[in-house]
Amino acid sequence: MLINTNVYPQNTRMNTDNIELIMSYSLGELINKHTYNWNATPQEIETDYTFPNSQESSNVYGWMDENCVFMNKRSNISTDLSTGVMTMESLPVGAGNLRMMFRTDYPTDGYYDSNNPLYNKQSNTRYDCETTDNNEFYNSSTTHGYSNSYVPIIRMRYDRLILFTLIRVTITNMRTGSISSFGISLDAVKSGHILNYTLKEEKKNELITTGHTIFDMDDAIITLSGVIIKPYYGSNAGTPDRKIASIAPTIETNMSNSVWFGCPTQTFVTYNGSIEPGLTYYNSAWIGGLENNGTNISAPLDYTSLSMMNMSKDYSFGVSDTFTIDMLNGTDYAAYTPHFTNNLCFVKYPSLNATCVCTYYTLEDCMNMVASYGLYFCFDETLINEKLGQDLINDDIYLGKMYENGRCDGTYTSGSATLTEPQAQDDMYIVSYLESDSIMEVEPLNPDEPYVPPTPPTPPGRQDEGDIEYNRSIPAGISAFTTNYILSAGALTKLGSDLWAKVSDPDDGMITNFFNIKTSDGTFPPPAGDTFQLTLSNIIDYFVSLKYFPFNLPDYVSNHASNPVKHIKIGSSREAISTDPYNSLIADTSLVVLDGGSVNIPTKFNSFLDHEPYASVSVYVPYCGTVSLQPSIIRGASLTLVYGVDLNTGGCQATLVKSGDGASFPIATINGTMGFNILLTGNNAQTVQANANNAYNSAVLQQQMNTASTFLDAGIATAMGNYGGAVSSGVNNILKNVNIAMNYANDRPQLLGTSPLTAGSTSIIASLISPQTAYVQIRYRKPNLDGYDLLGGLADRSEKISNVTGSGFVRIINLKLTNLKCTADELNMIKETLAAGIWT
Amino acid sequence: MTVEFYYNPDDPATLEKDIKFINKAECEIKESSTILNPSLIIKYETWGSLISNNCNYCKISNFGDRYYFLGNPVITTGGRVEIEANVDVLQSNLTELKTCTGYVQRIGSTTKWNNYLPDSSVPVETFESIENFQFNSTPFNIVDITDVNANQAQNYLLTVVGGGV
Repeated sequence: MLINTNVYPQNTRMNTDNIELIMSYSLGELINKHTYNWNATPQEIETDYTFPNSQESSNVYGWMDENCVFMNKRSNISTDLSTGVMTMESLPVGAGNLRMMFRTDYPTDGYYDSNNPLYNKQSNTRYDCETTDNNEFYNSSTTHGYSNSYVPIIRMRYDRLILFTLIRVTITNMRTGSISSFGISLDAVKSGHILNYTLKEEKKNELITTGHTIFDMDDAIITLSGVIIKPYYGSNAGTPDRKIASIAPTIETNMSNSVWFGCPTQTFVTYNGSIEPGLTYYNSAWIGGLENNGTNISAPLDYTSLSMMNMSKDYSFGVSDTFTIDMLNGTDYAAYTPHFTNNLCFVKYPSLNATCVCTYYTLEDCMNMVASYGLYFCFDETLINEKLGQDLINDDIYLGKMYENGRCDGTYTSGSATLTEPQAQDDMYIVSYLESDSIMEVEPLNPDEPYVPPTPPTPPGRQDEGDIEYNRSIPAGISAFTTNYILSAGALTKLGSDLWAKVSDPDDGMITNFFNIKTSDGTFPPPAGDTFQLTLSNIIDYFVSLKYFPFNLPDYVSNHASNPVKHIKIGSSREAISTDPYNSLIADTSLVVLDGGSVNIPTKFNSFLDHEPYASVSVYVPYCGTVSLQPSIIRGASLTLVYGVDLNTGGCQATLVKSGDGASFPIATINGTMGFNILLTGNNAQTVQANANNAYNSAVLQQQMNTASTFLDAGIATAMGNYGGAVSSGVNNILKNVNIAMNYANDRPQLLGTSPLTAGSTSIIASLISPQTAYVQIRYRKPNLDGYDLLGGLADRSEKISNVTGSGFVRIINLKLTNLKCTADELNMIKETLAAGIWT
Repeated sequence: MTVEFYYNPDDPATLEKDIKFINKAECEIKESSTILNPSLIIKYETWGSLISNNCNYCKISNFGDRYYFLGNPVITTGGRVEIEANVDVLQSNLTELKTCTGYVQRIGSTTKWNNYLPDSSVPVETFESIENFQFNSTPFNIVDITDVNANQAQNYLLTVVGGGV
């Protein structure tokens, strides 16, 4: 199976004179060194080849041996492709796919045609072939100087390139005949496919031995995954329109700086958290050569003759510039040294004046190109050196996006996006499948036409619509008859002590400190009209409620009086007085809204296993309890928790708001209790107070009767001492026991023999010792997917059978059989067989 | 009738088999054979040569270039071997079959799964695993009561009759 796509170098314009095609093929499992089976018996190329009219020497450069070791010595060349078919099996990583086709149809005597400007110049000097007016770079629609001239248009889609080693095929001096369809195609997009390299022997021999005969590679199928196009011209001086050079992204295996190359373990990026079995993705390696001007640095792009330092997006190359981003590294290579090959072997070209130009690249182009390898790259050598071995998440470090099948399209991420967008789903297959022995012909595309990658389809999942907002503004409560004082634990304790202070100074016949409450003018007895005397006989009845809330009230009671007050005032005039201020705040609102936080719920399996009945979800909401939700609603979404609290009743309602997937809306509400009542009275207290009141009244009466009674004083003192001490210690007991509860004690707080703190039907202890932060708990059952690929996942879609070949086990029903020349029984057999499942 | 014999290393249910040609041989068809399950009669010597090359597959051009799986050979009288052949409908109609369209229920390629279709055939483990995701903040701050003199946190609300500033 071959996969066809268009070769697409940007703005490539080539002269047909000298074309070097340096092609590389995938070595997906380079690190793992898969064994490649070579049908042809490895043998050396017997003789170096020299083009008849060229100046190339014929130093043979390498090939790959069966262990994926790049052989850069002639003696190690492992195969002579002239023996037939070279098959490399089990290339596990789809390196992408591309093909190229170009045509140059010269007249049969074109080589000697004086109208051929290339020839003229060729006759003078090998490299000076661009200085005549006629010798322009052509485009596909141009015929120039001679008939039937098609200038090669080669398009390379860089999104197909990943990891490469190189095979070079160079066609030099291809002016001697016609090239009608030079086809290059690539196999193997995924694991297990076979790359085929087929080059018919007779064609190769024609090229090598005659050099001037027709070169027709109609039948040639060269599997590769990278193309380097390198027509060369000796000098660009004075030709400002020819000022670009370079192409050559490739990665080699035996680079001297191999420390940079490979697959650092810390940067193994996967697709959606998982990797298709059998595939390995190499994502890391520093693309160097983009910074140090004139310095060959780094790998895998070590062979960088000139840097792209300070290269802005709209950078314009100078007329004498030669920018080579030639990533072909080799110990025997050196910057500026061109390396050309004939069809089958590498030829090191001796001239130092032959760096070639043909394509213009902006910085963005280059970044796209580099990104198309799915690699990390950076412009800052220092930074990358610092980061290697660590995480590579940095705004100045880029990572080429990689798609599910190992394909890259030249887009890249940086910074934190690298964590979340290093890869993308690749449901699109913009490749077509052809028969293995067919040569693909494509119409030349407009080289100026930008490549627009297809838009991937929307992944399956929820698509919610319609926002519903919860009410975020609660009106202030109105308290016409009561006042809410916000107190700290210390202030509350002090209030208890102040209220129930011991009677003092009985000897002067005046009781000056009763309940430590005085009238505002400090007189005794209370003046006429005082609410203490007129409305309530029991002072404790002035206290409507005391509640404990598990949050700092001033943070949420937005309308509280901003200045703390010193006194706690009851009725209209009586105040609890203390030498120390209470620093109480008066709450003017009785309804508050609390932010309970938010949480993102990721998907686990990205499949139905994330949902019922395989998974269940519950949300624990402090002070409200636990609510169950459907996993399908919240998986992959965000939940926000909002409380509404009624300070008067202590009740609350929690609302869970879901956002994501296109809409935001409440999905659940839960009622609970957040304010815990602290009892202010008890039978003992009332009894003690009644006794105290009686004693007080008796004391007043007796005083009026001028009857001193030390007995009475003593009785009052005793009574009040008991009462005040009981209440004060009771409040302290509450607070201490709350603290005990916080510390997960089992003791229940006691106040005068009662159980004062409850939250609805839940005791304060239960609520307080429970987690104070909401959480989502997802229960799921792990799948066992061993061998599931043999069973096959559900596809449920209509497909042409040719589109599912290579997909392993496939089960197809409702097959529509047409144009089959077989019996009815055979048709049924086919249907039954496919329904039972076939191997593709 | 000339029959081409092959070695088929693949599962019979493989759509496109990687068959290896062994040799051609003259065969006779047993009487009353069907085109789907013909019985081939071949010389013992010829069969011996084929079977030594793992022959298990054949193609009969006279039957419309149909491919057949070879069954158990039966050695009969006269130095002959009788082999039942069963048509391979996949390989025989490969080219045309590829152009046909059907409803793909299951497929091995993970990239072509629809992961959101519930698949009861996926085995899941009995016990449940739990993932907890805590909300990123909480409004609650329970006061440390042991420090009753501290006034930093004000968690108590006292409601009184009347009152005020």
